[in-house]
Amino acid sequence: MPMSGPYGSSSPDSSAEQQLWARFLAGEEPAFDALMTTYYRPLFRYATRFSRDKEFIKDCIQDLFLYLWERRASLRTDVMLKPYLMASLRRYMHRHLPGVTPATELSDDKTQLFDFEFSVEEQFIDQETTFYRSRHMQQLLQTLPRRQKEVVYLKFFQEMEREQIAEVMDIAPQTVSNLLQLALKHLRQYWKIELLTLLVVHFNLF
Amino acid sequence: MAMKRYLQYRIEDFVWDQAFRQWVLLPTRETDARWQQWLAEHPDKVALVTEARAMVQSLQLRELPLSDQEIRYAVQRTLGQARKQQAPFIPDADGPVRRLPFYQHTWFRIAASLILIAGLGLWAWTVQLPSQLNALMRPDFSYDQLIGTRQSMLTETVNRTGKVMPVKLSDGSLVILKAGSRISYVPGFSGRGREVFLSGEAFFEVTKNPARPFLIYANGLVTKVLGTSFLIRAYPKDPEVVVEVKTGRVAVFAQTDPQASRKTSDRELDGVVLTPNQKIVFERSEVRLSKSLVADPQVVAGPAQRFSFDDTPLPTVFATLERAYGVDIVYDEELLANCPLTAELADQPLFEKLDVICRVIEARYELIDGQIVINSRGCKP
Repeated sequence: MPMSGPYGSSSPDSSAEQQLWARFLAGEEPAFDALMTTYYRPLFRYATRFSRDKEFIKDCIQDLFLYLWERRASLRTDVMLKPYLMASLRRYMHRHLPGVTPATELSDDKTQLFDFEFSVEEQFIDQETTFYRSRHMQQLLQTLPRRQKEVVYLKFFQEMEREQIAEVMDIAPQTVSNLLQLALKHLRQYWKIELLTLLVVHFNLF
Repeated sequence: MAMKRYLQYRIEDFVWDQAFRQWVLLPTRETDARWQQWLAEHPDKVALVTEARAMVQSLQLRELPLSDQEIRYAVQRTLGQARKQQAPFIPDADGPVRRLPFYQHTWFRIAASLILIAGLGLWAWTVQLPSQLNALMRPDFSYDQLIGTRQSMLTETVNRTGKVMPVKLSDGSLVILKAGSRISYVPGFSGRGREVFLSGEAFFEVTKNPARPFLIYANGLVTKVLGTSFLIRAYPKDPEVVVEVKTGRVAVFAQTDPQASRKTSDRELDGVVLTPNQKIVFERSEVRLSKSLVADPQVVAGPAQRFSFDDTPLPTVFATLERAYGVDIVYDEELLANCPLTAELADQPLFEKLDVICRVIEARYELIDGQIVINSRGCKP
């Protein structure tokens, strides 16, 4: 099965990113503004996996940036910015989520915290078969085990590289590859799609 | 990039192929050209790719809605908090206070406190409040809003004369301001770059200084030049901003571009680069840039051209036009190599010249992305 190689460059200009981070650490307010503006949306999107409370998420992001700003003298300069921010936010939210005790935090595999919801936006679709295929793909995504789902999300919906994903999820890069392989295997079940499409179409006739 | 592997792809292979997804979700000129070409070579894949595209586009994460305005507001609010954290340290920054003994007197402390309170109040009023109010409003990067968020003093020139008005800037650059238009800038350009805010329409002739890029902010579009001449039309009520280049090279990008702060500060021309006779239309509501040619391209290159052709091969004719007008003409060289042209084209504008040529060779031309593309089946001798 052909796999997309690791070469597809999607990391946005890392030297500019480093510069921005350096200026932030140097205490430049415009850099604070630019950094937060640039990463607000991806962070917010990521955070919606942990909470559906918009105001809570906003507070967390604000607290995260204030925390970083306050400690900027003691922060590392050589970070991969996006995964670093996402991992920090993830930790911060886990610590502050209502009803999360240290015990549940440790075993968050069992909690339903990381909850993706994929949707099928119909405005892009002009054929019924495409709609059923997309719907089925959505269902396949929904049934992925939690960690596979998170890898798929980070790779395809946040355009992150293997190493970055490893940093966010705090796992080995090889584990990322393995999870991704498993997920894609699951998502590429062609004959099932065909069968299901037929079934759904058939079912709809009644 | 090897496109071969795609021949074996089934629909879900496309859906989960990163290069494919990037083309669908964030196309660039290069990826788009590559995929269009691949599809032209493999017409049997068009249906498959079309469906895979729709799937990629339709499969989205169910997100909580978040507007740019909310982000703007959240960032401003956080910045305000950050400033509050810092505020106690501000007096320290002015060092010399330390070696003066009178600060220990009670009267001084009271006076200083009063001044500090008044100062903080004033600071909150002038800095904090307007920026928050601005953030509450729609961040449309309009002239008034941009001027409002600037903290340094700006000089404003308003053209109320009813005719065009030349404005000489301190770096020697010239701005021809149309009636009813206005510009603002930091007097003497005391800053890192040379920054101008424009509302309305103006023609710019910018003096060369690669070390200090010249930036014009107009309704959300940033135009960056090192030294050149061009026109910007950005009236407050217009849904679009237009930039037309006369000489030199100009870079434009949206102010909402995530990389905007880098693009404004480095010495490179990044963003969409325009060359003479090209224009860009920036649609404000969609933050979309589209490139085309100005309505009447002017000769840009050196000595006067005669545009007199006598049995001249078409590639030579096109090369002459390309040089003279600084435009790109795209055509099938093999197909037109042996087509000769005999014509006097001295006095017509470029597009009429092209009309004549196309009539002779039974071709059509269209403007695609700022280039002239000739569609021809070759010529019959």
